[in-house]
Amino acid sequence: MKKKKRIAQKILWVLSILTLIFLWAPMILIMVYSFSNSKYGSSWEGFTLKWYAKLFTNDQVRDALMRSLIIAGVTVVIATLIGTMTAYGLFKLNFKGKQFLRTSILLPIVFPSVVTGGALLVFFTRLVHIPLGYPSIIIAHIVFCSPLAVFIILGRMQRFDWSWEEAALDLGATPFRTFLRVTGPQLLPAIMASAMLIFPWSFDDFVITYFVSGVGSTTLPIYVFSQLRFGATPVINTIGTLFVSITMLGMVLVYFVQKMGKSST
Amino acid sequence: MSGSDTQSNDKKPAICLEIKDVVKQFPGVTAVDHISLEIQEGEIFSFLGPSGCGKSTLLRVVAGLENQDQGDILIAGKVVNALPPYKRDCSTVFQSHALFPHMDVTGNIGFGLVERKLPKAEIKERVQAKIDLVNMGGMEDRYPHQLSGGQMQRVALARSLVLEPTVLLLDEPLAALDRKLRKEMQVELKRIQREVGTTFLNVTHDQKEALSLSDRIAVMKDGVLLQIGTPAEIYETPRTRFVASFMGASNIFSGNVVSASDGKIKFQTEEGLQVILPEPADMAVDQISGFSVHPELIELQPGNVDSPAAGSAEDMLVEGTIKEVFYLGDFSEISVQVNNTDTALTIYLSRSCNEPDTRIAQGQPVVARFPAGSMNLLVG
Amino acid sequence: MPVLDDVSASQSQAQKREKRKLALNIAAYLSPIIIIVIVFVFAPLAIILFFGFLKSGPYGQIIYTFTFENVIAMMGGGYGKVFLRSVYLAFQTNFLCILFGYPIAYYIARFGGKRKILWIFMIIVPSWSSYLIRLYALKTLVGTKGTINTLLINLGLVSEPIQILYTNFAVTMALVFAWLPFMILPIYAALEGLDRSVLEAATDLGATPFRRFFRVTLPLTRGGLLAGSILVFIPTVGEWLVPSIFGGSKIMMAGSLVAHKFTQVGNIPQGSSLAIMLAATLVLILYLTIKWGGREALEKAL
Repeated sequence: MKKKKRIAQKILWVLSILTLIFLWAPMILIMVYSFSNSKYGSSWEGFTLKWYAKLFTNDQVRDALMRSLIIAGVTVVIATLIGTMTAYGLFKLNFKGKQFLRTSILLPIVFPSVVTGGALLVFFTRLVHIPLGYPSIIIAHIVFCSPLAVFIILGRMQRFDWSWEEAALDLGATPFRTFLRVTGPQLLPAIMASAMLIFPWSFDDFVITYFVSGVGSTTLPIYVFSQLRFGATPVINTIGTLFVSITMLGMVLVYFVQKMGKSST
Repeated sequence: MSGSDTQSNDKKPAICLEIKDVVKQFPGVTAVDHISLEIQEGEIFSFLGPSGCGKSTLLRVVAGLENQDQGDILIAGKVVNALPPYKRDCSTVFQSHALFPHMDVTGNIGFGLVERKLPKAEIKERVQAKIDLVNMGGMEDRYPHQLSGGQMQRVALARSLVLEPTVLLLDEPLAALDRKLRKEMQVELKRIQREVGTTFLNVTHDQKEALSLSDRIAVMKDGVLLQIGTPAEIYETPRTRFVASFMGASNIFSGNVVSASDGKIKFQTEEGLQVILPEPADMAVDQISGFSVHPELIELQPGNVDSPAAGSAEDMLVEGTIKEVFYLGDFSEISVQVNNTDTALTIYLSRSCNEPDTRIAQGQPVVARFPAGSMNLLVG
Repeated sequence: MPVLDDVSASQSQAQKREKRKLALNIAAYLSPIIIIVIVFVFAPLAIILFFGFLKSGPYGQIIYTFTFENVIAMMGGGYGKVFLRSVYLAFQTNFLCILFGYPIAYYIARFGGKRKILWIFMIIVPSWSSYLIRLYALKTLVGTKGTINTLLINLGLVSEPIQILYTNFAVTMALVFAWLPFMILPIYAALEGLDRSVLEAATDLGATPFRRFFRVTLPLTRGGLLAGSILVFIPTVGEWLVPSIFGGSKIMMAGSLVAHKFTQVGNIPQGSSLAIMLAATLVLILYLTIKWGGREALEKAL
């Protein structure tokens, strides 16, 4: 029996490794190509760092990167704030229509991006005339990032020992002071984790941003998309390599933040 | 394993489970350390010990959920070492009951029969019989989350019994229940066992449960078998310090035998008390290292040794002072400081209506009388 | 009697106070999200619902006459076909994701041991990496001048590059590639949440490992499968990037139609009606899923 089990385990292992290869091979490939001396970025012709040098002197890329960073930065701050307030409200208050509100909040992430993007585009251009560019993009990002924050923080609140809050109130802290000294610090890891997940969520978004960006507000994903029709290019290889590396770094960071959160409860 | 020979029955019932020199190691610990024992057909046998003593591991080895590193398991005379759990003629009732959450009561009880590919009609019939046995009639369609803790345990029991195993293994089946329910389920377990006659191998850390439920008990500690015997044997004549204290014989005196003659031994405790006892038949005199006394056997008298009440000349008398009285309702637990020593005795005093306990008060000098038969010699 | 009146009066006053307090709290904590939901979720949806029944002029302007033209256009001809294909591809993707995702999730949960975190990390990183970049990377691998073709030609196995792009196969592969992590993670979570003693009980009661998987493990991880399916199915139906990169103009999906109408043609009424149809399709599927599998699975998924 043991032998059979070991064989089953081996087979599963092989399948799992193949799956990982499927998921990772393309990305590893472009990471390798980003250091390749080939003009076309899809073959290996010796090691070079020149594409990275080019990337950092490419004005278009720099503009797009700055734009994406600003949008993601503003979105993270606002969406996390709204998310925290909403989660707290949804958790603490009981009222008619709460379930409806919860479901409604989810709509922007449940609906396909083309629907959300299209609806917002029509809304911005035909109804309220919000200029396409930073304002429309940031609003759109807040709309689809806030739900994420709400449900990450709500999930944390459900596992939270609320007797702490009662104890603080009992010991003479006002509700505001209680949030500041007890509840807030306990929720901080979740709030930070949601911020760290929202950042790439916003930074990476292409579809909705593409709909509401208008002319001239090229974010980094939009720039990448515009280059895509030329096939593989060394510049995108370098951008991709940086993206994946930063994501990995971010994941490690989130992991440690969450670990910190766990050990503090 | 010093106690494995205390059992001496005249008639020899059939052995249905044999554990032979089993060793099971986990990284850093030996969970089961060379244990051998035999379990007879139709008895309720309990492994008793504190958590981490290896009793559950041993049960899992018997079930086939763990593989031993050494030794043999024989069920109904056949070595089953190489058999996976689903081919062994035993079944386990888990502490967490482990009911399948996606199946109702009937589905859970019928699970094993379906695996044995029995005809539907027979499955239905046998499941119904077991539902009746455990008094779960009318709840056939309920799912585990709709059942109470006791009901879930009944279903788990029926689920195993329906397979008619040679041995039923119970892994702390009552530990998750509250006290009142546990008592109720003990009675139920015993009734069900008497009705079906299946051998039960029970694991528990609760000595009261082991005493009331079992025909025989094996006490374990750190993977080692300390003593096997009937509940009365284990309770009244523990052979080692650990078994004695685990069974509640909280007054334990260390010391050694100073002389032995004419079938009597003279034992001196570390506190300097001397006592004369009959020489035991089953212990070497030089191995005796102490004795234990259950708190309910000691008698308390006010005053001092010079004013003794009636009693045998071989009784041991100890002078002390009452340190603390814990009123527990049906009896009081009294802590007595032995004069001029660090030793404290624990004595249970039953409530009685003809002797108002006005004499029991903190700080009062008393004499504790140990009747001659109350002292049980220990070898380890 | 007057005493009674007093009591009920003070009671209703207390109730009123409670109500006011609740309203105040809702305003304090929830007004931002309520504004977002009303202004930026419901209003835009209402607008496209409205525009979906309007006509479009030859220069992209909107003609304010009520018409069912757009809806009828969809029911009949090519659009309906594209919708059907989207749903079919989404089902297929979902099925393949389960087929490839379950084994690895099972392996990690069961045998991951000390490396569990590393394995999970290797699954999560792709799921959070830039979607666009990942698709680009896959295209680099399978394109006409891509690594696979270059390799095959250099090895002399083929003389002409094989056509992978712009086929059904390419679209399916890209969809699975993109969404597989989102299937693995919930299945893994469900497997991790399994009570080990339940599995042991099944074995103990006579189930072989094979039978145990189908009678206990699989039914008990249904929640994970459902959650993963929601995560995979919904975005797949509305997919735009994958068909536009891997399907070209040959393999269109519902999402690409919507995007095409809005961003390329500028036919807002048609785009709106297509978007509404797409949203309605999804709401219907979601509703059925919730009815079938419970809200819990959905909320867990999200």
